[in-house]
Parts: sequence; structure tokens; C-alpha cells
Amino acid sequence: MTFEKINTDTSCNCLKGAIIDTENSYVRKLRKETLEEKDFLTHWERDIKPDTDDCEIICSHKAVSINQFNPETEAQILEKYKTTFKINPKKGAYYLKFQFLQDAGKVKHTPDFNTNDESHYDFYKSDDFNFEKIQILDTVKFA
Amino acid sequence: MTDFHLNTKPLIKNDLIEIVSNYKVLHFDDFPILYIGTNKFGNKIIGSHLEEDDNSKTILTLHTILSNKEYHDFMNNKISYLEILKNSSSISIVEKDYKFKIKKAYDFDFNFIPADYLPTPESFCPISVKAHSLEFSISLKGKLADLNKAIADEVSKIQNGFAEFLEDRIKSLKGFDFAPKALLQPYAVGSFKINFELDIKQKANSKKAGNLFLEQAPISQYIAEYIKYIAEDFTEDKEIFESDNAEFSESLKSLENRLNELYEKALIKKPNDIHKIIKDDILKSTAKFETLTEQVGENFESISILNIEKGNEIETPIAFIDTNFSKNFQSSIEQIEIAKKGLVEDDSFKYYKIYIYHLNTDTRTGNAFIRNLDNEEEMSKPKIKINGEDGLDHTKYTESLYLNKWIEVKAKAKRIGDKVKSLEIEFEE
Repeated sequence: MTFEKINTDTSCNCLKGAIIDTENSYVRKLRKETLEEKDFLTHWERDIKPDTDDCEIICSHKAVSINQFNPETEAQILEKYKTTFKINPKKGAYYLKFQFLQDAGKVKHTPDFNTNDESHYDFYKSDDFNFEKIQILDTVKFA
Repeated sequence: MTDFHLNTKPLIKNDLIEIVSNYKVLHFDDFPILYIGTNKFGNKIIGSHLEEDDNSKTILTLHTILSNKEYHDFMNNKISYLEILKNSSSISIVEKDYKFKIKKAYDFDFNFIPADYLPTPESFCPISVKAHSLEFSISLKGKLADLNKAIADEVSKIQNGFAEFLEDRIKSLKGFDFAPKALLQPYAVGSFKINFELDIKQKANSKKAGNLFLEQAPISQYIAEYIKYIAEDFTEDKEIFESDNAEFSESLKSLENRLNELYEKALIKKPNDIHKIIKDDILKSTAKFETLTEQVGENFESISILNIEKGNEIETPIAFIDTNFSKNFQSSIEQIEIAKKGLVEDDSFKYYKIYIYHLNTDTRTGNAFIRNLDNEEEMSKPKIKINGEDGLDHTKYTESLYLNKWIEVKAKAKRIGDKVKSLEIEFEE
């Protein structure tokens, strides 16, 4: 598994502390009912690049935001998704529940206590990531 | 991306809607979904994320200028974001590049926001923004305050009234042995701000000095919730204070619970009659709060009491006092006093010594000082009305007003307890 795309054009070591996790379940909000390639594009891939040398910010832009899903985190994640929906319903009413397969990439726990997003993880895609590298468990309508 | 037909909308100057200070993200989900801040003129701006387009590398956001009342009501979950937009005439759609720099801003009407982008009726402020500290700011807005000026006498009354209000709440915590000091900090513009820090230390000779559990007691939260109760729920709860046995409202119960929690977390023995203590303390505190309400109207339009989050200077509004609130608050206090002490009215005109400090010579109404019946050290500030139709210029009434003179008048008084509430004055040459 290689991470050329993550490591090019930055001197930040974004993968430091990141691990392979094929055990836990994760969720990611979808734009529509069906999964699209755009749903797993990073800000960096979309050319949303901050003017900063701060590695924490740069690495978060090179990762896909996901949440680790379990009975303890479920309520807080749903609250976040529902809050987004209440402010802008166009941001989507579905989330995808999935597990990573081998070679999908690595995850790093990046909780945000200021915004009550304690189960937040950064997902660093491997160079050959595609949707065959995740096992879809469910697509859930939450609003 | 949805076409918002921006090319048909009038452009507006970026300065008006660009957030340049006090930026705070209220909700984040891949993007800042909801945020707040101030423009270069000091207006509060609320912003939300609409859409982004990878082809044109453009982010569209909604920016709306808020009135002080809207800001207060939204941050305290009284109105939703949808309601703000519905009632706003200052909505704009802001085009930003992928580095979040504003490219253009367009004036936009609520009715043209596509339905699937409209916030839902439940779009209240996310609860995660609540923060409490012992730093407060009192912000005056409107009229003279907007020129960053204020009348010295009014500022003095506000700062003394609020400082005493804060100190008294801490002193009333029986068993804590606190010696509170409300420290004034330098004034700040915007429009005119008075800043306070509540310093709480235990008395030097206190037997309870060195209580390690004090830090766990949510004192700042209690004070903030106390102020919120006075500013938002007290007038609705006035009947509870009119009788001795009335059941507490949910908001009053919640404040009582917070006081209980204070004692439990500090491991200090609770007074037995905490139910009565909180009720009596609230009534006592209203006199200081009333001082604030009495200053509103003439030289500034409103007072916001803000709680300042330490370190990053984030402001959370906890009370909003405008003319309507002030009238309602003062009338509630009067009704409670009448219910508890009764209203006594003179049968005939009697002589009183007064000093008129405010008089509208057209309506013949105003306010005066008068010494209380049983305690000459304390004064009431009754409303006055001067009967008759003769002009008031060059009379003893205007002489009192302009020359700060005590005069004798013939009047019928209405009293609650020992306080004179109003005087109907018989005109004398």
C-alpha cells in the first residue's frame, strides 16, 4: 500500500500515528442517496488548499473526514449530521456505514472537542483506493 | 451547482458583509456550515454554507446582518436561523474562492432562496456554543453609544448597579465565605462597552479557606444562568414572587438545581431553606437590575450583557435589555411589591419635598426624587404629573429641574410600603 498522493507537495508527515483498521465501522455523510466518487474526494483533491504551513490543517485537508461508529458515538454523530441538515438540507440526508478492507488506507483519530465531534477520524486513502476497498454495511436515511 | 441567478442580483460592497473579527464557527461538517462574527462596522453577521462548485472553484454562502436583538435571541435559542432569514432585509449571497476569500457579494431576497437550501424550522443555534466565565461585558447600543460615547452619570449607574449585582450574588452564597470583587476593565468601543471581571476569593480569615473542591463548583455557570433567568423568565414568573407558596416554574427549578449543584460539588453543607433563599435572593437582585433598565432609552437604545470566554474573547450574549423589556421589568417589580405590601393612596393633597430630575413640559410628566417615609437616607423616584394647563416655564418646577433645587409641592401620593411610586401634583404659581 503506497501513499504517494498524500506525501507529495507537502513536507508534513500526515501518516504519523495513522493505522490500518479493518475491524471498526465508520460512517460518512453522502450528498445523495447513492454513493458517488465525489463523496470520498478530499478537500486537497478538490483544490481546496489552505494558505498555511500548519501541518494539522494541511493534513486534515488531505484526508477524508469520517466518524467511528458504535453505540457510544452514534447519538453524537447523528446530532452533527442532523444539525447540518437543519441549517442546509441540500447537504444531504443519508450516511454510509462501512468497514475498510485491506489496502484501503489508514485512519487517524482526530477528535474535535470544541465542536462535540469526538469520534472524528481522518482517513488517508491509499494511492489505489476505490470503492471495492470498502465493505458497505448500510446506507441510512437520517432526516 | 444550482443557478441562483446571481447575474440578475444587485452587487453589494464586500465591506458590508465580510466578517473581519469575532469569527466563531457554530457548526462544522467538512465546511464551516454555520458561523458568526462582525464586519468592520461592528455589525453582527451570521453566515451559512450553501454550496461549492469544483469547476468554477467557488463556494457560495449566505451572509445576513443581524440586529442586536436577533443576535441575542438566536444565540439563546429563542429564534431559528430560518426565522432570521424570513424577517431579514439584509440577506446576501457571497461568492468565495477555494481559499475562502470573498470574490463578490449579491443582495438577495429570502423568497428567491431555493426550497431545498432553506434551513428547517428547527434550525436553532447548535447547543455546543454555550460557555461561561466570570468575565462580563455590558454593551450599550444606539444613539450616543453608536458614536462610542456615553453619559458619565448613566455609565456610573450601570457599572455600579451591575458590579453590586454580581458581588451580591456571590456574597449570598451562604457557607462559601467568599469576598467577591467586581473589577472594572478599560472601556472598549463597539458601540460602548463596560467590561467586568468577577474576582472570587475566600475571605483571608475563613475557616473554609483552602477548599480544594471549590474549583469544581460551577459558579460561573450559576451566575450566567441567574442573569439569564432575570432577563428572560422573571417577568413571566412574577406571580410566583407575589405569593409565598407558589410552585416554581421549570426555569426557576433549573436555577435552584444549579444552586444545589454548587453546594454539592464544593462539598459545602447546603442551607436547609435553599428553596426560599433563591427566591428571596432573586427579589433582592431585581433592584440592582432595575438600575440598568432605568438608564435605557434616552441616550442609548439597548444594553447587551455578554459573557466573555476566557482566552479567545468569544462573546456569548446572556441578556438583552431594550425599552420594552425595561418597561415590562419595572412594571413586574411594581406588581410584586403591590401584591406583597399593598398600594396606599392619599385621600387629599398634602405637602411633599421633592427634587425634579426629569420633566417633559409638554406632557407635564416626569420623575423626581423624594425621601422615603421611614428612612430619610433612602429615596424613591416617583413618576410625577403636574395638573393644570398653565405653562411650566419659569415656575418652581422647572427651577427644581434646572437648578437642582429641592422644592415643596402639593400632591397626592401613591405608595407601596414606604416607597412613593407616583405623585399627582397640584399646579401652584
